[in-house]
Amino acid sequence: MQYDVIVGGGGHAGCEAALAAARMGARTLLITISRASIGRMSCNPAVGGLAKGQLAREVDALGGEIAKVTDETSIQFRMLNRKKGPAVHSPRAQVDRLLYERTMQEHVSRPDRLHIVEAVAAGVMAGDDGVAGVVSEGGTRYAAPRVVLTTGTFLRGVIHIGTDQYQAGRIDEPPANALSESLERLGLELGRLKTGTPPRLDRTSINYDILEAQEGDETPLPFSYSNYRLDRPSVPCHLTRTTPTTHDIIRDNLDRAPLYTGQIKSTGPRYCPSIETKIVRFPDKDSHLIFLEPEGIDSNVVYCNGIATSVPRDVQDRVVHSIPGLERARIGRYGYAIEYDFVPPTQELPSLESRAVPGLYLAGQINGTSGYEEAAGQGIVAGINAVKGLRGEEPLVLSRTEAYIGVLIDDLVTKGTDEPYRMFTSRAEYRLLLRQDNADRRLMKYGHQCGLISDEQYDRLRRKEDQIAAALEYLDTRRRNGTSLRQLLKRTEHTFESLETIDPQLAARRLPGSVKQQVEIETKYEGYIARQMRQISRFKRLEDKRIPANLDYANITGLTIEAVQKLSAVGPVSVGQASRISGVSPADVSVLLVYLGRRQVKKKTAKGERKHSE
Amino acid sequence: MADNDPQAPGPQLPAAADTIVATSSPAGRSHRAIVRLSGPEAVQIASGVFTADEPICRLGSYTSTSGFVTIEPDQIRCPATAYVMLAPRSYTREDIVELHTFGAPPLLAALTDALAGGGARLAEPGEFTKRAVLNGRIDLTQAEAVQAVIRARSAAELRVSQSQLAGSLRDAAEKLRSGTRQLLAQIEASVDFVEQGIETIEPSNATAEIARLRAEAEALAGAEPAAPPKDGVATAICGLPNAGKSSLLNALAGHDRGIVTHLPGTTRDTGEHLVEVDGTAFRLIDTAGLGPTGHGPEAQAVERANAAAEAADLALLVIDGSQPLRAGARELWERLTARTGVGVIALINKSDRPCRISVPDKSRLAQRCPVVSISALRGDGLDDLRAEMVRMVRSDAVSCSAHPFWLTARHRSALRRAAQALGCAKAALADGLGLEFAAADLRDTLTAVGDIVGATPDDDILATIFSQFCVGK
Repeated sequence: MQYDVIVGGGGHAGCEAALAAARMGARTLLITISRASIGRMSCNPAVGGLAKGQLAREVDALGGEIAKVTDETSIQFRMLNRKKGPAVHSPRAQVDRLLYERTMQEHVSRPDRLHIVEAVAAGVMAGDDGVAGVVSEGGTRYAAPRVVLTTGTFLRGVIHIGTDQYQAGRIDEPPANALSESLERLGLELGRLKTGTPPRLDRTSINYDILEAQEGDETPLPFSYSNYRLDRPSVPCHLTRTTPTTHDIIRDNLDRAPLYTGQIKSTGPRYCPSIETKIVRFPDKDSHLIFLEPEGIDSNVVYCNGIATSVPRDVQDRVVHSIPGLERARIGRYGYAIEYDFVPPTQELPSLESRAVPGLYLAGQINGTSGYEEAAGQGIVAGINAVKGLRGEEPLVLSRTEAYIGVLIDDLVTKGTDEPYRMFTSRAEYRLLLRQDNADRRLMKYGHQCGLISDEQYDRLRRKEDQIAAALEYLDTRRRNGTSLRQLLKRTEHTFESLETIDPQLAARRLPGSVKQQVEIETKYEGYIARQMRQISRFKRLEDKRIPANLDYANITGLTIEAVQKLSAVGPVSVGQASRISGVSPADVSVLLVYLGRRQVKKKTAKGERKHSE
Repeated sequence: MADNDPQAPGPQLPAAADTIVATSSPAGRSHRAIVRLSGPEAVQIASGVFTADEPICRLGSYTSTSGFVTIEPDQIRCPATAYVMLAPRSYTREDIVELHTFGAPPLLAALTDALAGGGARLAEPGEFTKRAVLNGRIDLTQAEAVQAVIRARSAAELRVSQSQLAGSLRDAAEKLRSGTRQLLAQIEASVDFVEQGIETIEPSNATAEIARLRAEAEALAGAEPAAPPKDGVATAICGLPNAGKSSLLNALAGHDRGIVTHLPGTTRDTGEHLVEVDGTAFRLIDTAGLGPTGHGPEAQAVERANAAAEAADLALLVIDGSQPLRAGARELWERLTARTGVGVIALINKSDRPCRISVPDKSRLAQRCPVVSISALRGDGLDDLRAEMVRMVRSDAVSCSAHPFWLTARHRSALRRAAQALGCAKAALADGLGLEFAAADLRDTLTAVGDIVGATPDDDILATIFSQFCVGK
């Protein structure tokens, strides 16, 4: 069987990549170690949260799967930061972990063009003109002109629990060691990262009576733009805290904690530290918050969010028992840390294509990120670009100004990362515009162009845009006591609904809530939105100055040696991207601009001369 | 880059950026000076201060009209001519309005201020050229030739900015920046780590901190009025009696193009005169005017010069070149050059007469400080002297610690933008908008303050590209 695109890995990046490629018409093969672990949530059973909720909605606007599967499997929905402004409202859902992976498996099995094979990828085949396919551990060769690798934590994975350490890609799953070597042979440089998980508890052993419950929102909002309402059950999470005893137990056992004995050498995420790291780094705090997240409606597994750890099992038992409500809790699975290889992503183009191996795309933890949503965002872009590359089309590269996905990928390929990279709203300079409520307005056009968003859904968006424009115009022209309704709406005491009560004609339009919301946001935050727009137009000037591929920086006089090295290593596609590389100074950027301008002038002159001679 | 489908739904972006303003004729007093605006709102902003029978918004490209510039708060009304060049056929390929009026520095300062108040931003050095290049207007081969020169000079240029920033302005700006950054970090943490149960910042605390930062920015911005500064580099004219101190003072301050103002009442002493050389202000102090101390004339002169040097940044040691170097002069020179914190230029005066200072004495002088031959009487060598004075300041040989802030219009504009952004942040919180709005304003603040110390953030990197050019060129 000849394939167009092979996706190696069936996690949150791999599923999006495979589905996007297959839906765009490519004959796609998904290689996974185990069919049953496709779509698995290795970390906590939740989707969304700050900035991650925005990412999930963006993936949906592009035509991806994460939001739809979340809607089908959620067991609690909350809009975080509701008290703050719309830019930082972030949807978050608890999901049924097993149901999530089964649903994703079902979705992935639907497209005719998407085949799934169970195998451990052992190598990437490549020839002079780029990637040629994937070879499995058994020696089977799968040929394809485009390959997307989404290896998660499987590349030379090593699990640590206390002083125990063993090779594994995930708990109870084998690692992919040969693949790392294959990538190195192809000229990719590898780095190493660490992440960790907390112990999972048996629900029946938790004393919920003394714990504070955290309920979901009464009216859950769907993650996906294709759903209008959710009909899902809602179960609470519970809160508890570590105690001074917990901290003493950890401190007394640091000599057995792999993070502190030197057994683990790689860097873990600073934003999501293990409990031992929290206690060592913040000695003044005598308590840390813990969320007990149910892994499903019927599941007896509870995810103990807040105490990721790799201390020995006996210490984990004592730690758990020192926590209120968990005095008699049984650990179903112990927490562990995992070290794995990643490919420092500055080796990729903004399309996520490897610069060393054309046709090879990388997405997810292999790029040094952390999180399902970050993985999904890269996965769909890699899948789309694999197909676009095959067709000889320009890749889809989202700008920092239009999507968190754009911020994510630009950060990765420009700055790289030395710890698992997680998205934050503060990473997005234009976050007042990059909201969870307008991901469709920002990105659905791209999903539609790729054929991942149906005409029908796109028409709905067009109607929504028309309604928003018409409503804004109406509010501008309609006056009340000399003041336009638009001006009234700017005042804090007014909402769209309150205008409807004073202007029956407005109410008669019976606009959907999503339209009212956009009108209200665009009106109330008009000044800030306009300012960000101005900032964006300034930002775009340098982004629009393209740098030709394979530019020899060493030949540009005036660049510092450091700049030549950094620019050559990253291979920026625009002057804007070049300016964000650390080690490239404003003076270097000016040299680059002048050099590029001169090239352009020469080219034009050459063209003119040719015309002249004709 | 994702291609922008103009038909696609979604917010559309404005086409152009902000409008900039600067005096684009040489600094100093002249018959005629040009204040230039470039950008999408150039015509509109110019209309705010310029009136004529024919409103300039109705003028075609490459036309002009005569009228008046009116600056309300300063009650200034001056005849002026407006020249309009519309995009794309202009130097920057943007709309340009030039206001030609009298070349009086206070008028030009007030006019640029008024235009800035109307929505224009003070241009960064070389920004008109930068726009011309970036908009594809001028031939970049020329720019590259210029770039070679720039790079050769950049070490010196760097020293200029460093010397200007060596003192407390940079410290103060850094303090403002770090205060802003810390507050921003707290706010970002409150926004981004809501799930982690960390302590969030109370809006009331944020408001208080913003108010404090704003006061700091305003105090900085108001530390000294716009150019020309009332103060200047304190320059003591020292020397033995009859060396020619007063004639030098007169030559520098009295009847030459260098003079800008003699400000009675603001000078500390009737012997003080303010002159401007190449945009740098010097406060000339004639030490001859100081009272006697009861010793012999030469000893008195040495004491007076010493006392004056105590408060001075720069000492001009005037030596009578028409006779051999006297012991008193040598002592003065030794004591002055031994001092730290004061730059010394030795002036061998009376070059209209044969020089009788011995060659060994001359070379000894030259080893310790720059030596310039002048004739204060005839005016010979004064341009060399002026160049040397400016060079001393720019090369950091002169410490200007006596003047806490030496603000240029660019600094002041940046500080005003910072204060304004902090005002927006305060208003955002007062209006009950979320912390993330205040955060957006604080980022603007950081950008503005960062401009002062040359730490341009990523998205504003353009601002420094052609900074080696002069403003308005």
